[in-house]
This record gives sequence, C-alpha cells and structure tokens, in this order.
Amino acid sequence: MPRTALGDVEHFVLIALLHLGDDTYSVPIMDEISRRTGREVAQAAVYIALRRLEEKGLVLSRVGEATAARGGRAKRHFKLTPAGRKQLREVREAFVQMWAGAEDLVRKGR
Amino acid sequence: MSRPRPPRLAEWLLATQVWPDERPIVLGDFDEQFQRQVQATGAWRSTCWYWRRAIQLVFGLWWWTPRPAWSRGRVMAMDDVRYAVRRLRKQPLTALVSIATLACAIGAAAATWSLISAVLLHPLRVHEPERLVEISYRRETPRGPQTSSGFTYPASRLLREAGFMPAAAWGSIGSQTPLMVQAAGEPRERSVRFATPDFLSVLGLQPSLGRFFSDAEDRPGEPLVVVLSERFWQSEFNSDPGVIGRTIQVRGQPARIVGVAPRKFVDLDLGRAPALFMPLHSIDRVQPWEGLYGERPPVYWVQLVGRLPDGVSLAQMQDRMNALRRESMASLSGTTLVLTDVETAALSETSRADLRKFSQLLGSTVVLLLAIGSMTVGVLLLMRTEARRGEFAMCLALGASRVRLARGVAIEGVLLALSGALLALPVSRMVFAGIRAYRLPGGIRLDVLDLSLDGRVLAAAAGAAVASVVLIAGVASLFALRRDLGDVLRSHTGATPRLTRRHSRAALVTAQVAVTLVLVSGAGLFARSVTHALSLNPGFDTSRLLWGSLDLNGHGYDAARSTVFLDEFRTRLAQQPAVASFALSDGNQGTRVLIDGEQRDLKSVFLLGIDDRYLDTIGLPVLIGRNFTQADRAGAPRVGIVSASLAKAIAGDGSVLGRRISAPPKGVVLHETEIVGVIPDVIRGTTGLQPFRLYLPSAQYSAPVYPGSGGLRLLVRATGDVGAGEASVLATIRAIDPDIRQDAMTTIDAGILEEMAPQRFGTAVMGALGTIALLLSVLGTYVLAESMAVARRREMGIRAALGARGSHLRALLLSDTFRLVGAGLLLGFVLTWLGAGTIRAFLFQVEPFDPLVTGGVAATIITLTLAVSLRPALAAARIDLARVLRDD
Repeated sequence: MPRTALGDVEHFVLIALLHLGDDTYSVPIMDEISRRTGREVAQAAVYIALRRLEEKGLVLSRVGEATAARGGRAKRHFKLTPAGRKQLREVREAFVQMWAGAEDLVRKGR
Repeated sequence: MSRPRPPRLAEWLLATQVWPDERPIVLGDFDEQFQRQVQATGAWRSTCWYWRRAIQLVFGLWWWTPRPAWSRGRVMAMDDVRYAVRRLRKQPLTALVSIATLACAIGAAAATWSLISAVLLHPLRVHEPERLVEISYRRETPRGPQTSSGFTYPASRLLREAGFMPAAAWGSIGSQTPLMVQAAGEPRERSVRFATPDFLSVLGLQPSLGRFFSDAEDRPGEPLVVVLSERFWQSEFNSDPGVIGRTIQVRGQPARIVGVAPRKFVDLDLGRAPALFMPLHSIDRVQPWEGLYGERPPVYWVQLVGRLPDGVSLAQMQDRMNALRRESMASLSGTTLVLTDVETAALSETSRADLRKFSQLLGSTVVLLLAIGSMTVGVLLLMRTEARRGEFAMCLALGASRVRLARGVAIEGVLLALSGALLALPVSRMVFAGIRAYRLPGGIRLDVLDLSLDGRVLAAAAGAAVASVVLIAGVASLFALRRDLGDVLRSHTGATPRLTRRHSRAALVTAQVAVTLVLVSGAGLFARSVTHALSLNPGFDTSRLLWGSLDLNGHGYDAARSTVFLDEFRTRLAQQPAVASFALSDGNQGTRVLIDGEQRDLKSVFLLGIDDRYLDTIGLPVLIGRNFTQADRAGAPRVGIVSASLAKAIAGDGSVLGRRISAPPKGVVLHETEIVGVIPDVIRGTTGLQPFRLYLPSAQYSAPVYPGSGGLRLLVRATGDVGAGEASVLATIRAIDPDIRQDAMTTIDAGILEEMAPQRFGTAVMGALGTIALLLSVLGTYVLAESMAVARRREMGIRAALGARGSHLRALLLSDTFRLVGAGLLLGFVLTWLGAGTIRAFLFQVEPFDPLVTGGVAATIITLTLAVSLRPALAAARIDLARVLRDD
C-alpha cells in the first residue's frame, strides 16, 4: 500500500499531469479530466487537490509570467515530482492487485 | 475589438474568497476560461457561466478546505439550527403568531413601497427614462408665463424635422374622452392614444407581439391599423397570440390589429392608460375635428417626446432648440421651448405633490406596522428566553459558552424572521390584488399599473425586520445569560425574581399602543371624510336620480338627425312607467365673464344649456325671478338663470335680476344675456362646493360639439327602482337606434365615491393595517398582564394573607397595565398631532385631530386592553399564599 492515501480528485490530477507533461496548469488539467472521465470536475476541488499534492511533495509548482490572454495575470505551472510518480505507481499496483479476478465478477453482475 | 470583461462583482467575490497568494492565478484561470466561453456561447451566457463557477468555487473552497475549527463550528451551527427548529415546534402557537405577524408586516411594507416606487420613482416603463424629454413651450401672457405641452400639428412637424434629436409625436383630442371600441365582446368606451410610427423606438421599447405602425400606415386615408395595449389584449382576447391580423371596430370603423404594446408599458400620461394605439394620422377618421393638421384655427393636440443623444445634456439641447427660428410658425412665435424629463412630466405638479404626500402617509404607516410587528415578535422572544432562564443558568454552570447559548437564541429569531419574510411573498400578492380596484390622487388607476413586487424593496423590508428581531433576540439573550445558577435556584425557593426585562416589555407595549392609535385614527379620519362627502347637501333631492350621457355625434349623427332622434326619444321615454321625469342638458363649458360689459374677477363660470323640464326633474326651486318658458326660444331676447353662489358674487346682497352677462370677445361664444332667475347651487361633487353656473335655454345656446365630448347629459328621475328607470332609458335608446351603445348611468353618490377614491383607498389600507396593529397591541398587553400577574403571585399571596381585599389586589394589577396603555395613548396623541400636516390634504370637512375619532379609538383601545388584562388580574387576586408556597 502507498504511504499516503490519495483522494479521487488527487488521483485524477496526478494522472492528468502524467498525460499533459510538465509545465501544465489548472485549466488544461480540468479539461483533461473532463475529457477522459466525461464528467465536470469542480474547480475548487482541483485547486484544493493541487495544494494538497504540493504539501505532500507529490507535485512541484512555479508561478509563470503574466500574459495578456489572462487579463495580465500569471499561471501556476505544475510538474510531477519523482515521489509523485512513485506514489502513482504504487496506487496503480494496489488497484491492479485488488482488481485481479474481480473484473469477470463485475461483468457477470455477481 | 475590446476584450470582454468578466462580471466585476463576481471577480470581487472570487478575489475576497480565495487564498490571498492564489488570487491572481485563480482570477487568471477564470478569465482565460471566460474568454473561451465568450467565443463559444456569447457574452450573456458567459457572464452567467462565470457567476455559476464563481459561486461553485467559493462554496467548494468553504466546504472542502480542511479547517478543524471551521468544521467544528459548522457542525455546531447546524446543531443550533436543528435545536432551534425543535424548540419552535414545541411551542407552535407562539411560532405561528410570530411568523404570521412578520409576514403581514413585511408583505404590507414591501407591497406599499413597491407601489410608491412604481408610481413616484419609476412611473414609466421605458428604456433609460433619464434621457427622454417632453418638449413644451413657455409663453408670456398678461397673467404671467404659461407653459404648455400641446403643439399644433405643423409646429410639431417643424420641431421633429429640425433633427435635433429623435422625437416622436403623440396626442388625442379631449384627453379624458374615450372612443367606442368593439373587440371580442360588447362595445365599450376605450381610451385611444394616437402616435407616430417612431413612438415606441424613441421610448426604447419593442412591441411584445407583432409590430408597431409603419410610415406608410401613418398617412391620411390609409386603412386603419391598431396596436393593442397588453391589458386590452388580455381582457378582450385572452392573450391570444393569433390576434394579429384580426379586425376590431373603432367608432364603427374597422381597424386591423398589427401588434401588442410592450408588457408593463402604460403610457406617457399615467392618468390615461390607453387601451389602443393608432397612427397619428388616423385621428381625423375617428375623431374628426376642424383644423387638426393646420395652424388656423390652432388646435394644440400633439405632444412631443424626444431622446437626448449621448453626451448632450437637457440644458444644451434646450439651448440648441431655442436657437431655431420659429417666427414663421404662428403658434410658436414668441415662445421659449422647455425640456422636461418624461418621468417628471408624466404627472402634473398638483398630482405629484398629492401623490408625494399620500406616499409619505402610506410609507410611514407601513414603517409603523413593520416596527410594531418586529416589536411583537421581540416580546414573544423575550418571553421565551425568560422561560428558559433556568436552563441557561444550568448550561452555564455546566460549562457551556455564553456565545453558543446567545447564538441559539439569535438563530430562533432569525428562523422566525426568515419564515415571515418567505410568507410575505403571498401576502404582498394579496395586497396587490386587494388594492387593484382603487385610485390614487391624480386619478391614477392601480389596475393599469401592472404592479409587481420589487425584489430590492422586499429584501429591504425583510432585512429591516430580520435585523430588528435579531437585535431584540440578542438583547434578550444577553439578559438571560447574565443570570447565575444561584439566582435561579433562589427564585425557586422563595426569593423574588429579578424583573429587569419587564421594563423593556413595557416599553414595547407602550409603543404598540401608540402606533395603533395613529393607524386606527388615520383610518377613522379617512372614513369620516368619505362619510362627510356622501352626506353633502347637493341642494336637491338625489333619490331616484340618474345621470348619463347621450353621444349622438359620436355615432355619426348630424344636427338634423339628432333633432329627429331627440323628438322620438322624448316621446317614447315620456310613456315609460319607470321614468317619472327626465331632462336633457348640453355643454359644461367654463369661461370668464363680463357683467354689464365690465370684466369681473370671477373664477370660471360654467355654461349649461337646459331644457324646460330640467329644473322640475332635478327638483330645484327658483329662488328669485322666473323659470324658462316656451317663449325663451331662439330669436327671443337672451335670458339666463344663475346659481346662488354666482348671484352673490355678481351682486352681493343686491338684486342680480336684470344684470347682463356675456363672455369676453375671444374664447367661448356667449352673447349678452339678461339674468332672469336664481336657483340654488347644485353640488355634484367635493371639488365645487360653490359652483358658478349660468343656465341657458337649450333653444338659445348651442354648446360646441366636439368628438368624444360625451354629447348631451341625460337626467332621469325614476318612479321607483333606479335600476328599472335605467333599463327603460337604455331600452328606449336601443328601440330607436340599435347601433347606439349607451354607457351605464350613475347616481350622485356613485360620482362622489369615485371622487373620493384616494380617501377610500386610505380608509381600506389604514383600516386593515390598524386592525392588525390593534390585534397585536391587544396580544402584547395580554402577554404583559399575564406575565406581571405570574411574577407577582407571591406578592399578591402575601398581601392577601395580610388582609388585603380582592378588589384592592385587582386594582393594583390593573393599574400597572393601564399606566402603560395611558403612556402609549399619550405618545399616540403626540404622533397623531405630528402627522396632522401630512393627512390634512386628504381630509374633507374633517380636522386632522378630530376629537370624536381619536377619542373613539382611544376608548376602544382602553376597552379591549381592559378586557384582556382582567382575566390575569382576577386570577392573581384570588391567589392563596399557601398554594404559592406549595408550588415553590
């Protein structure tokens, strides 16, 4: 089991960061989660998840330059830390272990 | 192209609620998404999106942020709410009374202030009314400067075509005279507004259905088209969207419906409320009148409304327009153009002043009711906290925080106030429905105003009530939390409990009694005004007497046809058994007069042509001189009879017979006429108590006939039932000409009631509010008497044990209550005296401080409070000390 548990949104945010690569920010992260899961994710939940992940040392952030497209305001860029990647691997491993043999049961509706 | 800007208020909300270090980043994220939304869905939807997401974010941050102290507080707050609800449900009667009281007070206040706002502050439902101006002109006359807003048609065209600003023309002949209109149902008289095709666009409005007129339709000779007012569309066509293209009859001529006027738009003249709008040039088809489109003779029937261009002030536009040379236009020569904003122009100065006073009266009335409602709920909350003092003391002794306990009491107050505010919505709807039948000063009909509840006003009224209830609840809890357990225990074992809060409760009851006296006295004064008006001595027997009009000209009759009709009408009506007698009169035109060739400074004298049956039918004796005879026909020497007031003004105590009366050369045609008789004043309303009337034989006087003037006045004395008499008249008219649509006839009392509409409105509103206030006062007094009796049980028991008699104890308890009621009445008298100036303008033959009314109301309050305080006093006086000690 991973050392610290991940909430649903935190989990999604970390995977979105994997897909989007480094130097991405909250708006593409939300779009990516919505696109892949097919459901809207609350913006507040994403902000809180990113802050928690940073506090846990799973992501790193830096404030970029202000741009005119954002009304002269800056973005906060995020990237996965090695600890974050490790945590994701461990969570995935745990899920795989838990799901082993259960997929057929779900399909059969037992 | 400029960059769309997110809604500032939503940005501010975000900026204040997110983490300070993340503020620019979150705002930047929102801005980026907002720009994307604008591209995809447009500005309006994006603004809604921004608001929705901002609220979601703020709520989400509050909900998900892990703050232990916060979350504990949140859970505790929810517990407090649940506990408050449980407590309120335990005493449902108190809760229901509180909620109903607040609902009545907030609902009445919100409805009244919305009405005031609709009539006085925002009377016109037009776009940017502050940029709309009425164009009028000022002319110097021997009697001083006179301002008028009626232009001749050529003058209106000159000003419109000068191109200073977009300006539309509108008008009608005889502003208060409706036209016969037949739509889906029976034909009825309706008010019609004539306007140019750009009328709505200048006002910044769009028809709610169909279209307004086109330029091609506003030309002489074009087929008639009509735009319905929304009210007419609803009442006659049940809001049928398929009405476009259908035809209605306006004065017997077909007019095609092309549209429905904008929702809530009444007119630029609030006293008018037209049912139909027609092109300006169609007026001569339905209201033919000599000189409508020329300068000679000048007919001032067109009004102008313009929209100021951006960046141009009213004064600048006035200067520009006055630079236009107008000498070529006789009607504008020597005038100064004046611009007035339309909302000011929508009401005459007199109406505005009357309305302002009336609004002050109504506004302060509901403020008093709101205050009294909050006070009542405050009293109930005080009682509840007093009952819980033992519980509070116990909780404090066990370590509960004072803040937590105070919050519990405050939450009860908030729950009551919010429930009251919620129920205020249906209450205000009921108020609107109840007042629809009334009229305001200036003849403004409430049913045409499309009254709706102003959300801001409701919020303000509810906020005021919530704030005062919470304040009282807060004070109540402070008192309750000052107790310690020892105090409470002592009160159960023989010591007298402290009576601190009784003083505040006493103050509330005093204020309630004072407010009740003011409100009920106000209603009483209005009611007495109406009664006085109805009991006016009109100078003749009004029983079985009916008035009506017979508009032959309006039905296309010329002079010859009218004569034939009237001969036939007289013959047939004389045979009707339900009609004892009848007469016809003509005109009621005011003029200045010359007496024996000299101008006299008399106010307007009204001329009335009467036939030889008039005086007999109305039942007026000739005081001096003679009645008209058959010899007073056309061509014979001109004779006239004057009213007693006019006779006195002409001759004082001397003889008026033989004096000669005429009109100045310019104006009304009145040839020199010899006065041959004097009859008593005929008083038909409250506005002319000393009427100056000159009666002329119909054969010698022909009143100017103009379209829509209402035509001849018909006076009928029924033999028995007035309804049967009216039915006979209508049947006779229909038998001669089925096409003539005759309006219902009226009695003198009905006419006076119409004139006294604002006073009746005042009676109804203040009567209803006063009754609520009276009930609340009685409730407050009962609560006070009961609690005083309970608190003094021990004292009464000791007094009784020491030999005091029951009557003495009763008097002791009752005197406490009556001292407060007396103080309340005294305060009420002072308030009534202070408010006398406001109410005086609406009273008719009644003084604002009428001893009969105020004394009667005071006596009622004393009687009712005596009745409710008697029971607790009787119970306390019968108390036995042994029982009190046992109970403790």
